[in-house]
Amino acid sequence: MDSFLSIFKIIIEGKSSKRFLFASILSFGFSIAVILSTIGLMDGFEQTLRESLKKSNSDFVVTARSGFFLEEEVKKLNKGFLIASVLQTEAFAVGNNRNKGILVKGVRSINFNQATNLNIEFNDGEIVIGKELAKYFDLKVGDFLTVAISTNRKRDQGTALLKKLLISNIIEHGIYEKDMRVIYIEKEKLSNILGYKPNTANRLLVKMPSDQERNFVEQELKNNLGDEFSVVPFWNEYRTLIDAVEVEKNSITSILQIIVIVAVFNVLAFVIFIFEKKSQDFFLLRAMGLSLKQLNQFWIKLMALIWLCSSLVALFMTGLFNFALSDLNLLNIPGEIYVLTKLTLVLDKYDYMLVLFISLLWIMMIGMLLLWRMKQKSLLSGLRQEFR
Amino acid sequence: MSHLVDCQKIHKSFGKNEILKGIDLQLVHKQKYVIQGTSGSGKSTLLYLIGGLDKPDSGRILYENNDISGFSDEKLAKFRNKNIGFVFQFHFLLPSMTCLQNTLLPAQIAGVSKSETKNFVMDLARKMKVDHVINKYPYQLSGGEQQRVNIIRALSMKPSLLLCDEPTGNLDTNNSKLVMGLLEQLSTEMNSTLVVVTHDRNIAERFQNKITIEDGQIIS
Repeated sequence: MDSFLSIFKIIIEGKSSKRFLFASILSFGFSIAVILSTIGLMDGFEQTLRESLKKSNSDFVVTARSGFFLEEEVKKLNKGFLIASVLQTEAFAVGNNRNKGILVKGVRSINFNQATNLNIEFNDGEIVIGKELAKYFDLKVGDFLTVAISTNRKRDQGTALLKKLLISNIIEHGIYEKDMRVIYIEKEKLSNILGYKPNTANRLLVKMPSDQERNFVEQELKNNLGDEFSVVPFWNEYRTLIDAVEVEKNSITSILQIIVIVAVFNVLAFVIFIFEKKSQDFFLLRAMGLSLKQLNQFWIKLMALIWLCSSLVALFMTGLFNFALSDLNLLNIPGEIYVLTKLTLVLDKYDYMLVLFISLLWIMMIGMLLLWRMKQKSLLSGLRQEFR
Repeated sequence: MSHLVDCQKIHKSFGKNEILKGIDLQLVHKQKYVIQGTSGSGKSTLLYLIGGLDKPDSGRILYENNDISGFSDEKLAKFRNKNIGFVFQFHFLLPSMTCLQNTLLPAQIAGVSKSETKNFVMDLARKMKVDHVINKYPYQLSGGEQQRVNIIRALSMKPSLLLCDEPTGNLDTNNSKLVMGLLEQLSTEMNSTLVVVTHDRNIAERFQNKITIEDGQIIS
């Protein structure tokens, strides 16, 4: 019989068969979607975290082992790099009967914006704050934020200096922790408040030329700066978390195979149901001249069809989940727990190929099992058993 | 007289139960046979073996001098499709298809043009007086009508051998007579050899060639 549809029509005859097939496809599709979404979530987390860190940390972060350094000490760096020196210190933001530990970063906006992907703009004495901090204190551009900061000046030692600073802009880093705890101020202004020399810094951000290889540049920086400086890549700040996410992704994907197995059992149940309910029809078709080879081909095509429909259902569900995750408030992730303020699924073609190939493998195994069972029964015994 | 089917020392067992014990049987072209015997005597098993639905444990079944017991599954399937028409006791029309679609199934399996077979099937339907219900679904037909559609399906590929297993077992007397009359008439018209398995003596009386099986052996 050359028409797959003719046999397919026979096997899905009846409401129960149609419903069972629909439910099997749905559950198998759901299980594929769960695995795709998990992988996409983990990859999305890692990629978004890296992108966000690169946005605010540039390519490399250089720190002096002694803590502070003078900007003249790093002038020996090649001129091919874009560099931005940063003076940062811890402080407290206070207001509205609340307070928050923050990191005050003194930057020169032109250099800083070139080295990073942030857009810091302020006038002398003004500050730029993160989105979450603005939300926490209910602040907007033009409001004042009071910062309690310790200084290096002898006359102020032991006491916190309270500074009321005008907010010129509110920015988003994409990392909850930075949006909640980082504020930017003109570097010279911060040096002045802290009582440091204007050319003092405790951090250097380095942007490498886009055509160069990362490891090579890192080594070159280390060679140029010597042992007194430490050079780390931009993601180093969350290295442990990124490593943990990678391990978690592999573990969860393995564990979630259980869901696939459950769904595979659903498909198996459907196939056994069809096999039992329609065996009379199969044996009749065979009696009329349908060969085992033709039946095998039909069975393989049926399994492939179930897999194809399940895969489409899975892609739809994954897309729906991604939409809900990125565009619906309902599924917005709590940033204080998950570091990032927003997350979307990231899936490349290898992720799709791996998950869909494994699911195809599962479903073909079922098909082969049933075919093997069918071959065990002779046509004569099948006819005699089924037709009485 | 040339033999259409020549069974030589056929043995067949299911588990430890030996059903056929060395059957020798020859069927001649265009003849009509009845196989009779008590329940469990092995008559249906013999019919199915002749029809290539299974292979004997030992012995040979020659069909026009070709040993079908040595055929591969695929070759045997093609053989059944081309040469054999089966009529079962229960009608076994597929409920998801109309009667016409049911009758076209063997042609569809063979990959033969549907339109060509359809004309032939419609001719048969007129002769069988079921042309007015041919586009209906099986559940809309009476038992007698369903069995007539079943016979049309069995004849749709113009088989040289028509095998019927208790074709009237599920029908009343009138319908039994009608169906048997049509089977005889059409097999004659189509030059088919007709073999009917029955335990109904009235049906058996219609045939000149009677084969009686008892305990897996032909006794007359």
